Amino acid sequence: MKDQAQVVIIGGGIFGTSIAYHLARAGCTDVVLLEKGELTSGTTFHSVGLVSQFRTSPALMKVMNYTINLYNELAQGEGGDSLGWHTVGSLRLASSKDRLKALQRDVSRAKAIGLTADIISPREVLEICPQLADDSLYGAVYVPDDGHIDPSGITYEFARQARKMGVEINTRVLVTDIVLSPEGEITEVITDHGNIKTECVVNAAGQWAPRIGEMVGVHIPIVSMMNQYLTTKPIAGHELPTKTPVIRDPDRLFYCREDVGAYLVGGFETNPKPWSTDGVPWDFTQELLPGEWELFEGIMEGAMQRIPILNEAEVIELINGPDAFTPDGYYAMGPVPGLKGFYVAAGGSDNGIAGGGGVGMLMAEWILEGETSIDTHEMNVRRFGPHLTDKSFRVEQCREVIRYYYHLRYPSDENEWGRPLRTSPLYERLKELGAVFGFKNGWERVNYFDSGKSWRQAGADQKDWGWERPPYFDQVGSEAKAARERVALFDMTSFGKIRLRGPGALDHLQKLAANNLDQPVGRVTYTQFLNPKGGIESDVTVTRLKDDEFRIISGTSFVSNDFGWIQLHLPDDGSVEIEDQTESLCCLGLWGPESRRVLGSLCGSDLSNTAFPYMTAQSLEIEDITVWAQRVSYVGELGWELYIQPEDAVTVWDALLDAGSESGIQPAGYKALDALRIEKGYLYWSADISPDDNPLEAGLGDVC
Amino acid sequence: MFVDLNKPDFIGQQVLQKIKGKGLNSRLMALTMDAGGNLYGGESVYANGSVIDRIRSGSYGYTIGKDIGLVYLPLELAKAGVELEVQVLGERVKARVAKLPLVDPNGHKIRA
Repeated sequence: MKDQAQVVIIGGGIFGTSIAYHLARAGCTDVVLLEKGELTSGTTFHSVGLVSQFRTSPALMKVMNYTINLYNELAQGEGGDSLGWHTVGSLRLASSKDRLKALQRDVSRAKAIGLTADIISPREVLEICPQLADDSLYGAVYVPDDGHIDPSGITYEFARQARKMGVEINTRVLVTDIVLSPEGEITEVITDHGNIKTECVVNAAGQWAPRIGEMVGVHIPIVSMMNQYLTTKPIAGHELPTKTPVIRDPDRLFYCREDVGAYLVGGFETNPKPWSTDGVPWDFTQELLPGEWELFEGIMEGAMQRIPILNEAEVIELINGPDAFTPDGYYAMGPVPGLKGFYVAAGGSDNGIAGGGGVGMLMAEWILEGETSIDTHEMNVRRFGPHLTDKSFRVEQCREVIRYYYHLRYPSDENEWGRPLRTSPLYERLKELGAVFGFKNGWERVNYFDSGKSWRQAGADQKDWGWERPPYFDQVGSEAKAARERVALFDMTSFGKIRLRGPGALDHLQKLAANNLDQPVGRVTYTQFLNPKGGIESDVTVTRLKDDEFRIISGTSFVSNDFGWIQLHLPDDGSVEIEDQTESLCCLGLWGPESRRVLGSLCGSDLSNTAFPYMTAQSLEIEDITVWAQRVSYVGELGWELYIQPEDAVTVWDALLDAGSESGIQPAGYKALDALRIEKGYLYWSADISPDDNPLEAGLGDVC
Repeated sequence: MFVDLNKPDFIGQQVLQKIKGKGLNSRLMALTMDAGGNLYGGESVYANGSVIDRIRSGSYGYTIGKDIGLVYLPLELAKAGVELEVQVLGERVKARVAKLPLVDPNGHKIRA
């Protein structure tokens, strides 16, 4: 085994071997791959190998598209026969009217990002797949280029080609530690077969990735989840043709594909089970868990309804293979901020094979070029917040990913499990006002108020009204109207708050920001952090608190993304200190034409436009409490964001509501906020602007 | 505006200068329509029967009484009043291009 390498990859599954292949193909062959068992012996070997490009996210679609093209290319090559690549197409069935609408919506979204897919009629479905029963069949999405592949075949092919190009692959080698320099740089990988000096480690260890992360003090939120499927013996006279498309019947929670003339049936239950949540044992290699029939019953029942011949099939085995899931079901990839030379590529979340090619390509770009060719914000490991270190919460999030993997999730539905986790100091006050809480990045946030009713957590609410106008429509309208015509009060405590200070703070921010942040103390500036392609990595407001101290405000879900971007570019000289202060400050939004009158009646300060202009900040005294007020607004009305110590929040909230009663003040929630901001054209990062969009086309810059 | 190309070096500055020099390919615009409150983002946008792009975020604008979607449009279509279509839950819905912001366009209220 080499004792030195440019890159050491830990893990010999689909991700590890694909990364090795892509690095080598790009000319980087001084690579060692370490696998504690045999290749594929972690989770890859029990994967079902479904490959589908039907996605509604442009970035994921690109990853899947690239993967399919690569599999097609490799299947034409000399090792092609061993891949077991079957481009048989796929059918995603609608077994309910609401599902048909949901699929129509998904097709609209998939078409918008370039996929050729259409809804076909029940009759056409039965022509393609006569094995299906026709009851409650409303149509299906047909994607002819989808298929399935032998997961071991493709993994061994990546490994074979990587080896041929010069990569060293060592199996039965266990990594026991990773050594860091005092500056936090990777220096050496320690194994039970000797040590390798390196400056770059890729953690592609799947469900063991959290344990590899622990070696360098990095928390990687991945949970092993039971994932089951069964295989049947061929049914005499009913052998399945090889060209049978992959069937997905999400209403009945199952998928099915052909497996040597017989059926392979799996699915996603609505009450999923985690496994080994304190860390997967190192010696769990090429192993499965005992089949859990009770968990699988509902899936099998659905499958037998849709494919009646399954009632006659003899089951060979129920496979229970644990798979690595992340709390949002997307990959955990990319460089880890604050730890030079450490990369992650794990958390396949049942999409490891489907995206195996694309993941390898993106990782090679990150390692060799420092950035990726596509927007990776949904898969980037830096998106995960510190709240995911809470084990039971993390597990519940992963369980909910599987719960909704097939089960119909409407756009307005909220996660229900593991709540509440993060609450504002105003939580009790909001409850008293009849708040209906939504759930974002672990926070309980008010969607709207149902005044006169008792508070509740929103959950799978939309199933009650389906695709009709929601029952809260008028309530949200009244909250929005209050902000436009009178004054509304919003609890914005979940805003991300980052403090940056030190002698190098200004220079560092100036390097990141597209707007000029060399402003007087007390000025608030709206700006974007760009990547070298001009794409928008972060969308924030920055307030200069002192000459060498700044506060950055970012969205509820994006603070870790933004913090990570700042950290990835931090100078090495210790001149900048960065701290996430999200949980240590409460924030209220007081907005509307009457907001000056309400705030003015509580504090002695001059709030006139001259004394307190737009986009500036000052300290104010309310009820002897010092409050930091910023005259900015995400709703486009006169008003202030008020930053308050958590212990003072209730006093200030009560005082504002009291002082505002004559002006008709109304507490309002995030549904109203979203309606108000879009009318003003205020942008939402990740949707309106992203790492693939530049600020000039987004209308944020002067182009004349 | 929020981009200062004349400030000291920042990441992405050179590319923005090039983009500005060459001219833009598209502009982010609003589409207003009656989509029954079912505009959630991602829906395909059609011009003359072909998909041209996708709605980024969508929501209902209570002040103007319409569903609003934001979309990047090629410059020839990025003009107020242009009529396009959006595919919402299997239906093609007529939509009209509008300039942002749709409310208080000169920002008088926020600067009051």
